[in-house]
Amino acid sequence: MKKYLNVLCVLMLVLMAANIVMPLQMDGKDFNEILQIGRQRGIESSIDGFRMGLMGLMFLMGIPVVVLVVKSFVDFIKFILNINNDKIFVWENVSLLRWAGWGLMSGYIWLFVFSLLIHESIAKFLFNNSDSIMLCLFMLIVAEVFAIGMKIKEEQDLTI
Amino acid sequence: MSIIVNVDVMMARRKMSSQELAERIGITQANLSILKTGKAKAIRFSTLEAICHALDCQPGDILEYREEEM
Repeated sequence: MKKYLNVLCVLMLVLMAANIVMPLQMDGKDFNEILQIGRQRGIESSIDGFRMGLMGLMFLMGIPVVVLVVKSFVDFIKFILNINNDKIFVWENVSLLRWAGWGLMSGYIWLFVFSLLIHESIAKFLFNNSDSIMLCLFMLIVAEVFAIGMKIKEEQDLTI
Repeated sequence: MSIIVNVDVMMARRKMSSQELAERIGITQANLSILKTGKAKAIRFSTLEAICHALDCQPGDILEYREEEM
C-alpha cells in the first residue's frame, strides 16, 4: 500500500515540477512577440512606463514566490516521508499540505498577474493552467480532510 | 464543557485512590485524570457503569450540568 502511495506521490511531484517549469519557459519567439507588443503600444509613453514599472515590481515579487514554490515541494516531500514513517494523522501533515497547496497557488497567482500585464487573455491563461490550479486546490482540500480527520481522532482520544 | 464530572468527591467519600479506581474500572490513570480535570469530550456508558459500580453511586452523583456563562 505504501509502495503504491509512494509511486503516486513521485508522479505527482514530477507533474508539479513540469507544471511550474513549463509556463516559465519563454522561447525566443514568445519573448520577441512581447517586445513587439510593447513597441507597438509605445513603451516610451508614461502609461506604458507605469506598466513597465509594474512588471519590474512583478519580477521583484517573483523572488519570494519562487521561495514559496520551492518550499511547497520540500513540504510535500516531508509529507511523503511522514506517511512512510507511519506519522499519518498528525497536525504537522495538515500544516505541510496547506503550505504546499498555497505555495504552489502563489506561483500561479503570480503567473496570472504577469499574464494580465503582458496582455494575455484570462481565458487563455485558464485554458493553459486550469489543471495545475486544480492540483493546488486538490492539495488544499486534502489538507482540510486531514484536519477534519484529526478533529474526529482527538474527540475519539478524549472519549473515556 | 457544561458537563462537570465530580469523581473526586465520590472518591473522597469512598476513600479510594486514583490508582485503585482506575484499576477497578479498567482504564489508565491518564484517562482517569482526563475525566477528573474536565478535558474529556465524551464518556461511554460502559465506563460510567463501571465508575458507578466501583464507587457505589448513581450517575447523577458524579455528573453535573452547569450553564456556561457567555
